[in-house]
Amino acid sequence: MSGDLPFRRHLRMTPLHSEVAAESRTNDWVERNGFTIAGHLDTPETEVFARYHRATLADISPRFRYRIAGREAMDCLNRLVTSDISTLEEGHFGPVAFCDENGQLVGEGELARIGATEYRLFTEEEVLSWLRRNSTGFQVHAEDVSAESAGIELAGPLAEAVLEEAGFDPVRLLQAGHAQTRDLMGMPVAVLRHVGDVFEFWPEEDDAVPLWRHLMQAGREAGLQAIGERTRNLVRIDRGCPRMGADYLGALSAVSGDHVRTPYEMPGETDVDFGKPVFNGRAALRRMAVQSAARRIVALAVDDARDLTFAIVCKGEHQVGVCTSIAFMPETGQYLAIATVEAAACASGGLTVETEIRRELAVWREKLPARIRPLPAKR
Amino acid sequence: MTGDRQAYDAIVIGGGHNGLVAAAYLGRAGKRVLVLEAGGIVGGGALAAELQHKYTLPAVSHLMDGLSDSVVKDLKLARHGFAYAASGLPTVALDPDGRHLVLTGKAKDDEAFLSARGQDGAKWTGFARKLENSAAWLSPLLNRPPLVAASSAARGKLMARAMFAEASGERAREAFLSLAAKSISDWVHEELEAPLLGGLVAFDATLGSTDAPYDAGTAFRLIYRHALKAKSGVAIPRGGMGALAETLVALIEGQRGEVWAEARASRILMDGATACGVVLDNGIEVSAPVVLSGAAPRETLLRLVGARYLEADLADRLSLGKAGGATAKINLALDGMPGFRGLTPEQVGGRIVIAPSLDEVEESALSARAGALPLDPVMEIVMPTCHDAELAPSGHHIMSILVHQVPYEVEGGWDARREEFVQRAIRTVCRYAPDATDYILAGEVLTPPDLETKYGIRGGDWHQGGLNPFDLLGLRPEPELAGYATPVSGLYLCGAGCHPGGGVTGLPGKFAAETVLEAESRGGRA
Ligand SMILES: Cc1cc2nc3c(=O)[nH]c(=O)nc-3n(C[C@H](O)[C@H](O)[C@H](O)COP(=O)(O)OP(=O)(O)OC[C@H]3O[C@@H](n4cnc5c(N)ncnc54)[C@H](O)[C@@H]3O)c2cc1C
Repeated sequence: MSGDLPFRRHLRMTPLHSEVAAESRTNDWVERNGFTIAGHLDTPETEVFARYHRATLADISPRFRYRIAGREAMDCLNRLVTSDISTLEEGHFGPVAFCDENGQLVGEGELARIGATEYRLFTEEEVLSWLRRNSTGFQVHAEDVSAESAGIELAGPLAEAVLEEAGFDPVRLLQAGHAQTRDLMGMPVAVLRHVGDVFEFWPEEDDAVPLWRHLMQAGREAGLQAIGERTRNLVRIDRGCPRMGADYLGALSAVSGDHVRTPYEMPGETDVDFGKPVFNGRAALRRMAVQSAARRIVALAVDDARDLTFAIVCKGEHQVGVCTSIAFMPETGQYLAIATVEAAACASGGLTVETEIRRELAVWREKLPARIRPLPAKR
Repeated sequence: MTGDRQAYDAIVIGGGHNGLVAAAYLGRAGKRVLVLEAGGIVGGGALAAELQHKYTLPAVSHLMDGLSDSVVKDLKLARHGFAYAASGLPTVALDPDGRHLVLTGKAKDDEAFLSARGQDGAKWTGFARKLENSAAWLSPLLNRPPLVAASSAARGKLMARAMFAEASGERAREAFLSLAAKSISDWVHEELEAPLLGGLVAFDATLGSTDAPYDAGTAFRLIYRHALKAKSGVAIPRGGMGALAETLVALIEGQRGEVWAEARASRILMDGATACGVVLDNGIEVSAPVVLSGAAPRETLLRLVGARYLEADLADRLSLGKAGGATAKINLALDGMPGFRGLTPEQVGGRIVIAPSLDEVEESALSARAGALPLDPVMEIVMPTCHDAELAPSGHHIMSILVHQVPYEVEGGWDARREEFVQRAIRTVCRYAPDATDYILAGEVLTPPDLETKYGIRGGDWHQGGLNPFDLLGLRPEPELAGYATPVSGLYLCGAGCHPGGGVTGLPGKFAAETVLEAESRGGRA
């Protein structure tokens, strides 16, 4: 054969692939943004236990990173996102959401201010063309710098202990919401600390393996466990964070208007700052702000530990919603889900999910009560 | 005088006829208005230029067929001295073999004339009736401001309503819908045989655009032109094409307004997201709570305001729009009347079209697209001095030639090709009026880029933007700009880029001014 067809899909390896593969006892791989990454590396119970009681390490390289820099980077970004980022200080980061002209979400992510005129945007989905279109008329340049670095997430209650053992005290002492570049073992590494003992490391591509090994080594005592995407996904569902591409679609990629969401349909509060005179979606969001959203994305729990599947959310006889992300939580023996539910049905309880339950070869249906979970504080 | 801010109730950028009409409507309502025109003469595409202080040339446009009767009436233009030197002019389609066609627009006469020459008499009547019916359906939609929807969902409903609930009836609507998406060539081939009629219709359907007769949507353009026709038909204003602008300037000045020529706006002043004035390119700042712009929407919003003040989707769509002009002008001063073979003097005073067949129009369009000069240019000729002797010294004449399908960028560059272009055009004229060259005293040629630099008509585009069914009504120039107001509070658009489009109609200016006044009476900003 003479070369690859241009439309042939290539599954790419992250810079950490060989390290992660060495930890795998399951050979369970998933695809994320074109990369092969681990699904589970160990049993779900082991991974989840480590995540909630010890510490875990994960390869998060497939996230997109964009560098947005230039004299008018702040103005450009402030027109892009719904919140006011002019108050974001250097060395800090925060969640941002951005909409199209109809007030539908185009993307979400974290925006870190690296310098006076330089920012990094972290997103789950590709948004470069949108950033470029948003650059017109501003002295700013947006580029995809995803290939320049690899991502490592250290999380869990003992994460700080691991950092201490690793000799990374300055990182340990970082406050939540801060993003800084640190010299770790002579390597420049961008570090972000989230609420809830989650640290993100973004070393340069070649430095990723030494950093991973060093952390694995340092975490031995604390029971540091390498985990895969499925456990990270469970944590996300547990926190009630919808993910674009899974729980709703980005406005630029969705074909049906039913699959896009506005900030007002999201759980928690997306910051929409009408004090800013111009930003994408402002006029449409203004109109929406005075109405109540017809549907909402919520976090559900189904208290049942049997082997079951479900998707449809009902109230009485009627379908009122759909679960878009579902995971079993071994810690509490319940199913957790992210669902889109009619707003009117959310109010007074009485929700059920239509399940299919299996026991060996037998399968039957049951409606099980589902409750809307209050959300933990936002990142 | 930098920093010297003067306060007006409204500032109008662009002294094209639409800007002036808007200013006059605002002045009529008691507003103190300032009009800023970049050029040395006001009028934009509708102005007169002096040649050798003796000839008053219709510099750009040369005929008025769509000046809205309502504008004439509302502004009492007649009382202020505006009049036609001639109206209801016939259209004369020149035939290389001398079998010219003269159409008056009166169905019976035209049918009789054509039948007598064995040229599609009855067929033409059928064609003309269909055109009439479709135009009758569209006309009311063009003669009022468009319905504007706040959201894309509401837009769909509004469009459906506009399409299907019109008072003018089902038959007309069906006629319109069956034609709207067609090419003019399809329509012509279905109904007409005489090549000369096909050429004329194809010329009219594509004039002012880069479209070719085989392009879908060109049938619609013909209907559109027809739907905007004023009662007076094809007319020539007394005193030259600048007469309308001159009347309007006098009117505005009588209302305490001011019109500044050679005053180019370089930036619209912003206070947050609100327009509050204009900075001229000489640094002078003028302020007003309302700014209207008769410049093209894209120029206004991307250059004078700046993309940063718009949502990215809109900025993006505006930046994609391409100006599509393909018209050139040749204005000649003659020291006598050339002899058009086979035409009576009265016919020479009509609208003369040289477009021998649809295929020749198509060929010109395709060569223009490829950046080549047409071998046999298609054109429209007007001799305004047949009706208004004041425009030239006694016994002298002006020949205004509008050459259609001329590339904006020509192979080899305009500097090298200009002379050749003029030669070709005049050679074509001489085929019908062999002695024309004997009379030429002087002249000027305006290529599409010349029209842009000299008269601010970007890309030589008649309509300040596209003109197909999806560039009209509540979608023109973009859905969120269709109501003349813009997302920039205090800023309105009032030029041909807005509904109902180009041509000397005055309607965009009128509707824009009415929108401003309505917003004020609703308690918005003045
Ligand atoms: C070659 C040619 C022939 C035509 N012939 C005919 C015809 O015979 N009959 C007909 O009905 N129509 C004709 N048209 C179309 C017609 O001329 C236009 O549609 C019409 O003039 C549009 O009027 P307007 O006022 O909207 O815009 P314009 O006439 O284009 O006026 C806009 C004005 O704004 C000014 N301006 C732009 N930017 C600035 C700035 N930054 N600051 C200050 N001023 C600014 C420009 O100088 C210009 O004067 C012709 C067009 C062309 C190009």
